[in-house]
Amino acid sequence: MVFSSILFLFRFMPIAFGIYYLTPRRYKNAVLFVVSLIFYSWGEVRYLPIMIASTVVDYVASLGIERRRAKGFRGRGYLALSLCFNLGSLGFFKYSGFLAENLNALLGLNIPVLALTLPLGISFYTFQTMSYTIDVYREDVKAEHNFINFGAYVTLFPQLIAGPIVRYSDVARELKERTHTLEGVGKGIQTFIMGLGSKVLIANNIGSLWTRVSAMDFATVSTPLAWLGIMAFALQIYFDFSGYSLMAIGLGKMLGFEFPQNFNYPYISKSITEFWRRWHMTLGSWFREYVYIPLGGNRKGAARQYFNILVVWATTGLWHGASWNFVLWGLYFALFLCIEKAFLLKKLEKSRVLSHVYLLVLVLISWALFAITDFALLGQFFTRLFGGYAGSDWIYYLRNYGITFILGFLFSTPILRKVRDKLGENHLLVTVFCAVVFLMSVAYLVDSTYNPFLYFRF
Amino acid sequence: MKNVTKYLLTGFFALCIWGLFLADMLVPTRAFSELENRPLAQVPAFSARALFQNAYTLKYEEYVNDQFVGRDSWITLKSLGESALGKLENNGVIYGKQNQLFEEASTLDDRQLNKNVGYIQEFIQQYSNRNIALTIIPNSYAILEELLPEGLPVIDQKGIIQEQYARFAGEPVVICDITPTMLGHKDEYIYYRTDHHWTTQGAYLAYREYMEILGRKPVSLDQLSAHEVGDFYGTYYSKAKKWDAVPDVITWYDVETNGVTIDGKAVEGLYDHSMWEQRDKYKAFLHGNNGLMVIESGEEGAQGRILVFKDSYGNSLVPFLVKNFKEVHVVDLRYFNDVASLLEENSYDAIWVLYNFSSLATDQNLYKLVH
Repeated sequence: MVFSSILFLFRFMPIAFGIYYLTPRRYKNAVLFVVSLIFYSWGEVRYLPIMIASTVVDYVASLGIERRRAKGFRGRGYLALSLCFNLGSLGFFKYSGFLAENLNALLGLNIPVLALTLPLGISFYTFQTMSYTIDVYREDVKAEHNFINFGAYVTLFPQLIAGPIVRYSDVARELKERTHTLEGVGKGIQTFIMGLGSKVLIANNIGSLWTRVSAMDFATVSTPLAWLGIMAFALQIYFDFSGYSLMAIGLGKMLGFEFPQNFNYPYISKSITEFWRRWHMTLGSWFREYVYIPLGGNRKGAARQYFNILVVWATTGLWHGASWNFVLWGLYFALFLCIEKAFLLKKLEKSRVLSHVYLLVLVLISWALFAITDFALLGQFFTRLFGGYAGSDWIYYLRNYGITFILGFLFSTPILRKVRDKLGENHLLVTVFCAVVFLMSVAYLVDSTYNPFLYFRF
Repeated sequence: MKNVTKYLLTGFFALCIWGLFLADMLVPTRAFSELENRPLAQVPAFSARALFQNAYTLKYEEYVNDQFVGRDSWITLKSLGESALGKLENNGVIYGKQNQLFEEASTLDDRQLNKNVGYIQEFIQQYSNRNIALTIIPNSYAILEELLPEGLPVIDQKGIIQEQYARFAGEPVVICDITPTMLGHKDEYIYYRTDHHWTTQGAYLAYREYMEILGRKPVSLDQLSAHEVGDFYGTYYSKAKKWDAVPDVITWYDVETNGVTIDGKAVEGLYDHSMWEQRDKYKAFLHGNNGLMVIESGEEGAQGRILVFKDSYGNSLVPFLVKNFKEVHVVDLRYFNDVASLLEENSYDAIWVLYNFSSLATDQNLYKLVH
């Protein structure tokens, strides 16, 4: 199930939240566990066993690590069990087809390519549960003995399918004792509505432009339209992804959880380094914590550091989808991160205008690498971007999407937050604005012709 | 006061979520949406099989969407939102000037078009002595170009129609090209604003053109008694649901018949008058689309027999032909299969292949002309 649907808003929410609030505190986690499983398996019942298996394996592994440790061992075997299971299921469902295709092409083999549907959110929840067993192994957290509490953490529906990647340590305390206040619920509702509006009113609206441009024969697209198209994609993926995260954070607050922030106005950055501190922050910190630092980070000399950056970004790219263009996309960022680390960053931080232009152009190019999976088409698209092709095809699209673009640009900056902070978060104007956004979102969902779920590859 | 505003949003949201949920449970389901002109999804039957094939959840979601309380008002609200965003289109329908709606046509897949025109060519060669005429009816966006939004990418339909006509050079067929005539009358009400069809006035222009080619005298409109039906919201409206759309007026004319049959069964007259009251008023013409319609004219001076192959555009034109021909046979290839026997059993003074451009570019049934 996805948040941005009538089904979620007017069936799942009233029922699930109704039961949740009415249930006595000690059974709340059990309710969460059950409704989360229903949320997850709605639309794909067959993946329910995978989710349950994942919960059981990590539960058993963490208890095993603790037991071995009591006997003076480190519990490596149990850690390996958890890692193998998580990476194994991720590898099997997400990468086996990709691997088979490449081996076939490279070695002339004939391995059958399985047509598997990727279980919803598998890239998110495998990373979450791995962080838990690794943390238990490193003695950063204690193993969770209560299966229901652990199950509620793994399947927690707000963050299950599209992040943020909530680490166990983020919510360990709240799983046991959390408070539900009307004020917290109110804040949650405000955050949720902002997320819903981002996704339904901005991302979906502007996204249809990129969908149209990408369906055109690139050989006929003018340079202005190519740029409009890729800008539309940049706004779509930002508002879609950050919108999902906001909805998740808001729902979390309504349930008494504080999830980590995931996006912090990335498009106002002045460098790629800064951009990745503001974009999908929980993924960045996951890779830093569990890949970059274990590889040695910056403690083993400059050459090793550059190598580590390369490894982290190739895998980050691959995490976004089983296709070479995502690897290229990751390496592209690695290149600029290395250049900035070497000398550019200090200069960028001093500049006031040029650094923003630098960042936006580089990020737009990265989105072309991200959005176009076919390398021949990608090449063709780049010739249109930089070839200076005139044409009048962009006029209509600029008129049709002009106001949406302006809203997208405006809301990519912290302007709304500043206004809200100035007025106070319960000011009547803020409330009315949220109410209007909510009603308009429902209207757009009722008559939705374009409401894609972008993370099916993740 | 401060305490009231503090919980205002929470109260509003709770009211929306639980209130609309309850209302949704209580409001009876609707079978058909007049606004969208389509049947609405109903409660799906539950079965373990459907659940495991993911069909049940999918259908359930469709049902929840289609039956959502106040659906029509939400749709209107979205349409208002689109206007506020300065959008020039909604759901593939373009908002033109002077309240004219158009279909989106920025690209053309011409494979089916070329195939269909090929079938017509074969048909003409096979029946080379049967006095066949061909007309491709242009869409409104090709004729009312001045009403399109500036810069709208649109295919050169007039050019493509000429290319297709050129394929018939030297063949035993009369090309009845109505494009220049339509262009000459582009300031008149020849296409509906909210529907993809031409108006009866537009159809009349094509009829007159063809009669002049055949050397017959077209009836003049002021000799006919006209009836008007207002409040017509057509197919473009059903897709775009533009909140401030201006409804159309349908005109129909009295024509005498001595008997009309549809696929062998007798029906009353050329029009299904009950449809004028319905949403989809265009369906009144010729009782909608049917396989073979045989019309015996009751008009004085009507003579000869004509066969028309048509899509729904032809429905509002055929009544004029009944003025001139004693017998009019109307075939819609979507619902008719045996063209060969029809041509074997009947002699015709004229055969008219009359198709709209979009139908010609998408219809999958024209092969039946020759197979």
